[in-house]
Amino acid sequence: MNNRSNLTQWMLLILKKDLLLSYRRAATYMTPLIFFLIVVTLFPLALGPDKSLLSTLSPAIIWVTALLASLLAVESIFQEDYRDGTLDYFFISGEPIFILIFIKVLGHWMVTGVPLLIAALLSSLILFMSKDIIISLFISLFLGSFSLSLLGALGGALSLGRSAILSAIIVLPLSVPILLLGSATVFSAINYSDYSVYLFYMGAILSLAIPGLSLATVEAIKLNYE
Amino acid sequence: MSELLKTKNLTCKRSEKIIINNLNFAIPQGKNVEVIGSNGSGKTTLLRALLGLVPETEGEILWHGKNIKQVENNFYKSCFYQGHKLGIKKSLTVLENLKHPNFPLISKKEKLYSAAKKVGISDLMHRVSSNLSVGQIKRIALARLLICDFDLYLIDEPFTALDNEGTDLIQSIIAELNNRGSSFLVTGHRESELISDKIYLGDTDE
Amino acid sequence: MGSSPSIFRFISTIFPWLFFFSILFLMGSLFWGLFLAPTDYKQGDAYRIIFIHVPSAILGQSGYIFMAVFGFICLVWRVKVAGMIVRSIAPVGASFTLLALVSGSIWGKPTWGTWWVWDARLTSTLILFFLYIAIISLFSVIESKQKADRAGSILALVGVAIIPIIKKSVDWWQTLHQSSTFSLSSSPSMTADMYLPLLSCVLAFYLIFLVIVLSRMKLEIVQRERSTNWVKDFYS
Repeated sequence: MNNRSNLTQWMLLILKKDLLLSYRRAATYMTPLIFFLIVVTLFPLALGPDKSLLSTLSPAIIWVTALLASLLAVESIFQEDYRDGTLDYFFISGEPIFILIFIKVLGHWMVTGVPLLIAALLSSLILFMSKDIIISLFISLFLGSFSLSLLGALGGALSLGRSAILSAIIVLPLSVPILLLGSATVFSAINYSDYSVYLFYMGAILSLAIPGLSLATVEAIKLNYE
Repeated sequence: MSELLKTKNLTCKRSEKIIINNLNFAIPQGKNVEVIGSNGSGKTTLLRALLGLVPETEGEILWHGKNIKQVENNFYKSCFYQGHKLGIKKSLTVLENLKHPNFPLISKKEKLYSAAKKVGISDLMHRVSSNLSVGQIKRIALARLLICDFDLYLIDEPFTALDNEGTDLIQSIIAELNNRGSSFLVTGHRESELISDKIYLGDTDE
Repeated sequence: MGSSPSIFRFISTIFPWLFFFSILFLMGSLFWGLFLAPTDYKQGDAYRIIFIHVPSAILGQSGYIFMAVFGFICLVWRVKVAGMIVRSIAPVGASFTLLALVSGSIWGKPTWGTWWVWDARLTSTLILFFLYIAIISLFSVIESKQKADRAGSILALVGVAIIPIIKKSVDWWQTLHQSSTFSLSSSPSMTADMYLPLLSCVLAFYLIFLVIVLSRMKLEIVQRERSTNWVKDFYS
């Protein structure tokens, strides 16, 4: 008479539920996008409308903004589930919890990552970035934003129920390699040099981050259950 | 009568403070146990300790006569837990909340509708949950009990925030599931009319 | 592992001896480095700041590694004392890292003409300082001490895994943007009569680090167990 749920059902449940929730609340995916565009607009206002200056700085501006936007977006990922009790059930699932947490971050990244790429595309237009390097920007953002989501989830778990600025202080120093590699990719593309090595390293970081940061995030969430 | 769950000298602490002291009880198959105590007497802690969510727990918990640590997976998969926090998503409709519960409940769509009908929310299925009253939200949680069968239901304060009609509803649901062989462990502030063994926690217990 | 009272008594017993020995050792080492060691033919006496700069930089890095090691012990074996050690090290390690940054920039002024250079090593040290700050702010925000210890331990462990990646990526970053003509990487070649006092200073700094961490631990234990009888007995 038992209906034994298995890992696949758990993963599907979390993914479907989170995607449905984000679909219902446009803020989930619109806020990072709008934040991104506003911050990018601030740079020409502060620097002046000089086309060549903006074009030179564009990779740096876009990458720093993407870093802030994706970390801000993921910061509150566990807040609602912690408050309404959904997170409790992860711990009595009988399944490996870090996989469930990973799926949750994956779902979140699917919802916030794509708007981020669109925002980056629009920003590259208003910052006069040359078209040849947009591909490199896209691939580096694609790989980097997922690592940043995982990192941001750890920050959100460690600062659960506390201010967002604490999460930023925790996560920003740790996100330095992704920023450096990401902007290095785009700067290499500007100089027409081979940037694949940076992408390989970003991929390597991501594949380490998936198990490592998921496990650390589980430990961090557990602290709130004692 | 076989015992589903049994505790031996269960002691729970929080920050070295003893909350539950040397508790022995058993839940027989198909029967109910009610934990009664005032706020802060450790009712929730007891439920969470049984589920392994309280780290400072001593003593033994037996599931079908075996230490729960050895049959953890089997235990988790045959248990239905519902805490204070119901895990109802405010921005989803009633139907979506039934479709996406806190843990996978495998069933067909008709089953969801019949469960909703039984608790009296079938005409609210497409309403967004944020527009519902507390009692109606509580009924969504009740409907979830009916979607699949479990061996043991651990429910934290099912009788609070419900009118007489709702209380009767829970009792009939529990009776129905008892007939199918399921057991219940519920908590409450005072004795209910539920046919059950009673455990008293807190000051009156000493 | 020992319980808090026995560790407290052990620290109390060795502390005065260790304290005076470390102070003497530090003064001796600094005197050796700052006055007895020969003058550098290129940089003159300005180079002598390495007797402070290098040991504090080493301690800043070792401090973080110590935190990660004790953090691991705290998380895996739930040893409470290990958590206290992590908490005690954090501000001390941060201070040494800050000292390394400040002394580095003071050294930079006469040698390269600016207070700050975006050199790979200085940049990684700055990020290390931010990593310490992150852990310290986590400690200060979480009310429950044991919870805070474990949160800090998690962060220390993640940080120690990421530090090599940070170092490597900062190196790349520098080769990619070769605008800066300065580099602190070409340290002056050293003879034994400069090297030995430096080694002695490093040892002295380790001892001072140990002394500060132990005194902070003593305080930590007393604060946490102030309501227990053994603490009352000890101070009555």
